[in-house]
Amino acid sequence: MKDPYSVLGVSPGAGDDEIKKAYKELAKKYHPDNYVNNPLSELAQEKMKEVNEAYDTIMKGRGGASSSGRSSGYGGSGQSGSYTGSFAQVRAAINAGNLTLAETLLNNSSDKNAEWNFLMGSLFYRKGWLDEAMRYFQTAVAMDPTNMEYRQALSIMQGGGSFYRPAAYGRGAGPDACNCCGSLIAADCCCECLGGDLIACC
Amino acid sequence: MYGYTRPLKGELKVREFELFRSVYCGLCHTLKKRYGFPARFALNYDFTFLTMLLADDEFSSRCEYRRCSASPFRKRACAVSNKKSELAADYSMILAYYKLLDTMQDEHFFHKLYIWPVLMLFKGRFKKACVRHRAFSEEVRCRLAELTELEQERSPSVDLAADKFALILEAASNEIEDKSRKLATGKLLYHIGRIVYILDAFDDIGEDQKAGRYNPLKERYGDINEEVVSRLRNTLNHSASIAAADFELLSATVYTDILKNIIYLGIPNAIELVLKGEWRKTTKRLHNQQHR
Repeated sequence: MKDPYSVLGVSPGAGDDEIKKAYKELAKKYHPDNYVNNPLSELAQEKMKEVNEAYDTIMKGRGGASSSGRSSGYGGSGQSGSYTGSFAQVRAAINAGNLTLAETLLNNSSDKNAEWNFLMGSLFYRKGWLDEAMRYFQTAVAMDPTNMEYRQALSIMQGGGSFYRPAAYGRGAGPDACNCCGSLIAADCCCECLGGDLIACC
Repeated sequence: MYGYTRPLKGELKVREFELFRSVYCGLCHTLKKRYGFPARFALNYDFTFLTMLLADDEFSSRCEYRRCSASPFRKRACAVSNKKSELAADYSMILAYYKLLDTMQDEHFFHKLYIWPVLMLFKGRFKKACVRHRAFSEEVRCRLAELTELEQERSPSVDLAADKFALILEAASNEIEDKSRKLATGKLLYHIGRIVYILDAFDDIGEDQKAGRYNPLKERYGDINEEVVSRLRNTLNHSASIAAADFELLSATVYTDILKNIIYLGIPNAIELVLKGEWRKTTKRLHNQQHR
């Protein structure tokens, strides 16, 4: 096992607060929200696990409670095991990263409803084809404006993927202030999917 | 090739800037060592970025001080070449040749007169690099052939055209041994490739229109108005965000801080400048400053 201090990037002489701070920064960096529908999400999960373990080891060694200061929500994975609906197979294929299968299934489908458009969007998003993804998500929302899943995907697209940024590299001149409500709501939706909640009232 | 992947100089620490310049100079010397003097014309910021990205933990930042024709009196720090930087130099040679070939096809007769001799100088060197990395050169050739096909069909999908270009950059990660590092570097390069392709298309839109050439953005959006620009800004910054998330999964090297600057500041800055139509002006000024 790797040295837990080097995993967190702190020296063994660091105080508890410094360790907590380093842990929180890393937990933000590898948070599943930053890797939604990303082929590298498993890699990010591994990193997250490594960071969690390092933090627990250090805190245990220091005699503190093992998860003090560690938010439980940071460890979770966003994938649910089984899918329902007519496109269950497609969803499973996209999540497993088998994009060829997903594409074949979608192309063979005759019913091009809102969900079909949403899944086409998800497929393209995973490939990094963001312009196409946006188009399909827009169609999906236009066809079924009440569906939260589609709206949430579109809102992430409209937010331009404002993920984690290291503190020293703040956005230079981005229009972020205008976006922050939207991003918060999107983040809330993601949290709710994962079983948590960011904004209590919605 | 295009110079979009450069650091935002004002935000670099002095030691980071010196390290960056030593990689730039080191790549230049490696190109010369492996392919002779004319290969130095292939040098640019994008290949410097690639060199830093391909360097992994074993890569030492050992420097030596050398003169060169660009700095004949004062010795400059150069990163000592090693296996990884030689790989980057080989890839640079292959990519630079194809880029030149592409420019050659696009330009007017008089410009062709300029480019032709360089192309001839590069040809033998390009072949040498291809023999060294057959899989990579084959990949580049196939993707570019597919791209040409799309251009002839006047494909209205930006992503489809960008995909071919992005896959070329992704292939540059093929010789990384560590599996997860290879995957993350490949995906990161893919998203960067998409950004570079779209930015280049945007930068060329006026010229393409005049010459009646294919331009993916023109085919996709028609007239480029403010709304289109804001959509492009959104999609490009989104790609940059995903690239950054992928980058964070790579274990640290001596170049991590410079790469962070490029990814979090340099590329967004390039996106902004290109979309405002100020890129060529600014880079020309920067270029002159640097060589003064």
